Amino acid sequence: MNKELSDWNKYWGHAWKPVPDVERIDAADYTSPEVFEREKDRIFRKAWLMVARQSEVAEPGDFIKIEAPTLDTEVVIVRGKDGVIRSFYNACPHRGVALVRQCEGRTGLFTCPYHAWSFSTDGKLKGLPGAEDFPHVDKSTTGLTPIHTGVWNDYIFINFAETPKQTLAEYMGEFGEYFDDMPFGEYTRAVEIIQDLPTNWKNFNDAFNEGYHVQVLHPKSLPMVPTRINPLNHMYDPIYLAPHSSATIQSNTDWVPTGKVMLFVYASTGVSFIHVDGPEEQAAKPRLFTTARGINRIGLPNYSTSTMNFFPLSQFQILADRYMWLRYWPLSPDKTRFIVRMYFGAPPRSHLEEFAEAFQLASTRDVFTEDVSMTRLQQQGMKSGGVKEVVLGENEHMIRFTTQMIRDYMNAED
Amino acid sequence: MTEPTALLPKGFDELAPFIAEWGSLETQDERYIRRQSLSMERLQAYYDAVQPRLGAIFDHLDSFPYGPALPEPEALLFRVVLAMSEVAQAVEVYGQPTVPHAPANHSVTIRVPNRA
Ligand code: FES
Ligand SMILES: [Fe+2]
Repeated sequence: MNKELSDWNKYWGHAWKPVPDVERIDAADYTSPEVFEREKDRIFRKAWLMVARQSEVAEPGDFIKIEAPTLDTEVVIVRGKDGVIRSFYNACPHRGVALVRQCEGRTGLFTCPYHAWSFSTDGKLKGLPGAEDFPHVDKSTTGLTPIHTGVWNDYIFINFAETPKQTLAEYMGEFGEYFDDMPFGEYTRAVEIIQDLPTNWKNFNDAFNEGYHVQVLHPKSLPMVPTRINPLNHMYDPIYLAPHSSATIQSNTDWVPTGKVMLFVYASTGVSFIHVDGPEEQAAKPRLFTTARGINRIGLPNYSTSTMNFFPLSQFQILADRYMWLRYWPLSPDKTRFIVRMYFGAPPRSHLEEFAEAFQLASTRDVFTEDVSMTRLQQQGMKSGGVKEVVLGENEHMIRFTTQMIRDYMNAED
Repeated sequence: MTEPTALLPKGFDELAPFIAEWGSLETQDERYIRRQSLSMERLQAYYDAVQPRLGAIFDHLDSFPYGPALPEPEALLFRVVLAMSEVAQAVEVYGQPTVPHAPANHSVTIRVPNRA
């Protein structure tokens, strides 16, 4: 059962709010270029964005170059000699070159390929060839332009505001405290799918925040989710700790797999959709998410998955022994870069395990393909002008909540 | 095409008819695209031939160290059996080669990131 339930009641007491009163959304919010520009300014330049994992820059000098495609920006994230993780615009202060060309590496110095200005891992200008010609440049105040950077749990967040309204700790707030013991970093095997898709970014948030569609859209691929008593797959234990949210999803214990290959994979590798606690868990394996205090707090006997929404563009889908990290970077009103990273406890150690992983990847991709297909068709319908607004049921409360958060950001005073 | 039965490890000759369709594919996406292009009859024929042999195939493959140094007959067998990760979705889940509502010739690149 749940640990420290009484401690967490202090959050529970106010985490669940009545269903937000967002019954309808203008279709134009999903299609309009003006709305999109405002979203970029009011949300994506103001909110903290979850962009990387600490393990991607594990050692001093480790760097990665990532894209923030919504803002046409490349970002260099680097761990300094002092161990501190910093982020910079990938832009040389001399004449603007996007100087870092590798996607990842380890270095003590970033050197621009144009005129060889060089910068240490804390962004300071170190080398300026022909410095005598730049008497007007103060080396001590010149360097790469920093982007506000913070770390929560194993995750790196950045904020493009010149002065963020909140620190990352404030932004994560009680949601961050509630989930701070999640063992993400112990899951070291990642496999990634990146797709640019012709649909608005909010359609992804919406697709992964209601269970209403599961029985209809995924009848063959997810028979292990809807149950007889909850056929519409209402999500359990919604937690709203603004601007983030979380919910718990059941599994259908009446479902018995019959596919012989599926049974072979389950039986020979112990992988299964329905987690069973067992004595075979070894110290070498990563800690199960079900041991974290924020997961299945309500003690659902047929627990399967938790969703965690990190406003505005990330979602985790947490299973007992693996998790998925979804990101939806808006590219235009009707284009989104959809990135799914699946994290497993360990890379395959045998041919059988590689096969089992391939099997899981194929089935996961197929489920996402079903979801993605609907987001595409949604965009098509919304663009047609045939619907002026879309309507949300009370069972779509998670969408209502995030929509309210979006409205709050869009309408906030500066 | 080379004489295919010569290439598979001894004891797995009956899988030779599937080498042409699956034996040269290297990535999950190539297998996914091939799955969509084949008829249900072909997918079912593969499934019926390979599914009963899964235990024996992996017993054999895992008698070799896991890694890039697999001898060519075993590497070929592994490529052929990895097709089952896709074929099983068609046969056991959907009863059709494609995912419902997916675009034609759907392609999805799956990669292991260098840093994660
Ligand atoms: S633009 Fe970078 S050194 Fe000149
Ligand atoms: Fe779905």
